[in-house]
Amino acid sequence: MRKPIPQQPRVRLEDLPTRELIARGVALLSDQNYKDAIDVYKLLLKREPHPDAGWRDSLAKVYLERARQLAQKAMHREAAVLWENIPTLCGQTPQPDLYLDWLLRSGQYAKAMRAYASHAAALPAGGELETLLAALALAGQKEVLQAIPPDAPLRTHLTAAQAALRAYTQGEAEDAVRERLKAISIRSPYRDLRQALAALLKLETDPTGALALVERIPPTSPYQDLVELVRASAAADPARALLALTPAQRELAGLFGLDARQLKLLKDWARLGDRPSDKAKFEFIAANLALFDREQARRACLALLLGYPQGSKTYSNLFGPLPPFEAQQLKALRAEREDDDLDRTLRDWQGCVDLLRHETDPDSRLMAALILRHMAELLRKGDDGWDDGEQLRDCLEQSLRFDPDDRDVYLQLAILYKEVDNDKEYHQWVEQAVKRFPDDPLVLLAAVKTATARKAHKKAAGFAARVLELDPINTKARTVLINAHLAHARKLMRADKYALAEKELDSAGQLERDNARTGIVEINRGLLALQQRQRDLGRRWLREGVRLAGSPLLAWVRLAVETLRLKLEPADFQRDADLSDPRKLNASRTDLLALAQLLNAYREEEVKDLDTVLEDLEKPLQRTIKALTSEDDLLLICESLHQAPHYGLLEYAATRALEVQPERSLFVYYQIYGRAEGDLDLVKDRDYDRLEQAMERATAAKDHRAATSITRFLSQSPFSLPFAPKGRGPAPMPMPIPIPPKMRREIEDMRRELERLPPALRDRMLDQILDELPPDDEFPPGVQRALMKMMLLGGGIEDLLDELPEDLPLPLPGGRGGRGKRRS
Amino acid sequence: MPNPFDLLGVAEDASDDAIKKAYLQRVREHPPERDPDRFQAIRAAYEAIKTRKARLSYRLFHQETPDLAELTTVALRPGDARRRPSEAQVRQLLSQRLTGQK
Repeated sequence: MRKPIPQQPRVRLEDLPTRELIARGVALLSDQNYKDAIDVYKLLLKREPHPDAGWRDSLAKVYLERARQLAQKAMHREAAVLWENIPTLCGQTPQPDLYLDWLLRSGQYAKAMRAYASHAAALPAGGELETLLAALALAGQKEVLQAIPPDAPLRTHLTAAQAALRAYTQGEAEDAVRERLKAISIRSPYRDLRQALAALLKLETDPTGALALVERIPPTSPYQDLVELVRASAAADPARALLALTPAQRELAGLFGLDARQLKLLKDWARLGDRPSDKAKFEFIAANLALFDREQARRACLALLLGYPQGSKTYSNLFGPLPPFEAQQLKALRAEREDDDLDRTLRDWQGCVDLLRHETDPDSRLMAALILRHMAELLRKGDDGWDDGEQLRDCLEQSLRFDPDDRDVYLQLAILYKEVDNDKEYHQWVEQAVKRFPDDPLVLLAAVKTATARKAHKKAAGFAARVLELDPINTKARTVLINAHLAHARKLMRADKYALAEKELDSAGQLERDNARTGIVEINRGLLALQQRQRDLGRRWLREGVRLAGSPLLAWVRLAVETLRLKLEPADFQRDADLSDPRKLNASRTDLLALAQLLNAYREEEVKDLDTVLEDLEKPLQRTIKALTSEDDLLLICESLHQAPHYGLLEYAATRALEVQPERSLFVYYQIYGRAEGDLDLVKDRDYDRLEQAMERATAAKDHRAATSITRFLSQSPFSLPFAPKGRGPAPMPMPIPIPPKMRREIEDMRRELERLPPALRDRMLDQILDELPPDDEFPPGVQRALMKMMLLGGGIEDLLDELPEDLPLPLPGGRGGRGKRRS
Repeated sequence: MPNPFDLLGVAEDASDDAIKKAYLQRVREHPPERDPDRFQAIRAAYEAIKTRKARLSYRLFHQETPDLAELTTVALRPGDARRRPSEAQVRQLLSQRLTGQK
């Protein structure tokens, strides 16, 4: 619980000495906190009422400023009330025009006109107040009219203003209206009306000219609504501008030249409000159908039926019955929108495909393919780990029957099969993609990968060469091609075909760009020369390779990897390469980060024995890791050591990382994974608890990377639930049952004991074990019994589900899935 | 997303070329450096309908409720006969402005 913050005792203003009170008043004024300043200056005035003290002026000022603040928030009535304190408490009447303005704007006309009479001498002539009073007079505000003295310009100019307005609104000719407007002088309080009427008149013949006229009307003018109407009417897209007007302004929409039906449409639009329901929108379109483009209106109504299915009958009456495909599509979209039953959504979309299945026109076939791909996407999004993706792959495969020209679908299928370790299908889909898209770099790169995986280096090189023909700057293809030549060269070296190997190395060397030489070709040239007993040449090449590698650390790793690939011993070439003892190397942070990148690249090439390569480097790498302080650096190193893998160094790096960032779940995982050498059985009970806590933290923090890594590790448990039906390959994400190692060992012992017993005795013994299970907080007895039985006897998820009592929710780590959500 | 056909000002049966032309025209009118939000909307609209496949996909799966403002704007295209407001309408508008009613 958070410790309560001790509160400062509140000091009453009355208890403050005058000097402090003055200081507070000054501070409040400088903060423009007039509200609190009023209290301070009222108190100061009470303490020192003498006029020389000056508190009256200060109080008048803060009252006025506070009133202004309120008026800016359109709180005109409150502003006027506050102003009224000034004459009472301070004996002053500052800016009576503002006071009048606030009274008028809050509709207190009688009071305003009394103030007008009493402050007449102090009011500025021809200002905003006069314009406001003039507008009220023109609008017919009786209290204002009665209070205006007979000789005031407000009264004397009113008749001319009224005549001009009448002439314009009664449709008099342009010249006649202009004559009337001339009678209003430019200094008249009605001058803004003159300008606004002139603009409205101009609108009829020259909209652009009208815009120029309204520019002269100030933004605070009471005629701003007329200004906005002129602007909207003269806009490039007046209909859109019309919709942006206020309902009051839209009352004058006749200015836009709309007919009666359009004016009704506009009224209906106003009634729709800001967030109309689908029903209201549907009815709006239906009621004004004659004004809309019929096809657009039909599509809009069809889309609205998604949220307003009750409109179906009206839709049929207006546009005819829905064609079967559109009706089915609507059903599927509605199911998808409701998002509570994936099976139903898929069934409804499948219904659409079935309707299109026998159509022969290209659009229908493409639509069927698109729907099937959409279904695959829904399956991917809804994947809760219960199936192995067979349905998803099936959708994609089917889609190619309707539209075989979608490259991405072939590649997706290849990846999906690779994910479930079905190499046969993986290679087959890549091959199909190559057949259909022989000149597509992405497809060819995928083909390079499959060919390399099958050790068909020549084939891989052919594909990569084609990519380079199509895209000469494709670095990935270049690297792949170089590696393919190198791999072939190694194969030839091992078979003692030196001349051919040299040719392959030449090819690899020619492909390398001068600014991206890694030394790997030269190292292989050196090894080849040494194999042919050309000692001097071999040394020269090896030393050149070391130089190009960039640092002694990287050079050693490259030499070690290349020799091991040729089944040679790295140490035998150390002297020839002029490299010192790797255990005494000094590696900088930069060297270490470059090594991490190199290890990652080797992992991508599926190079084995990286742990052996790192063995001799353990001490120098530990020294460099120990000096690292950046969390990002440590993460990069841990990741590559995890991939390599090198357990000792991984544990070391993760331990250092936990010193820098003690709570990070991923580092906890790396440390324990390294310590247990990647074997869950070797995890100590204490570490198991830490791993569980790290998992909880990762889940709570939505750290998917850490959560996934830990889940994968825990799923090594022989008691993990393989959430895939038997015979369909491994599940994408097995869910481990969280059982500590000690208990797992006990269960394993029991399982072995049971296996040794004859069947009849085994069943009895099993029942006894199950009957004696202690109560468990996490699993209900039925679930606990079924899980234990599965763990002791083995078996798949289907056996487990058969054992489970009906309607029991199955608690799973991370809250994924459950029996109730399982798809059929 | 507003209806991409309306946003680009093309018919629903427009060809790839016509859509591209309309897109480039709109980009000229609303270049990204001057009107980045509008440009993004135009770009998204183009991506949604630039190919036959994309258009079919849009027709099959888009679920946004229709943009009534777009539909209504077309229906409200002004005619030539502008009508002047009545004196009462002007007075009413003035009163509403002065008393803060909208």
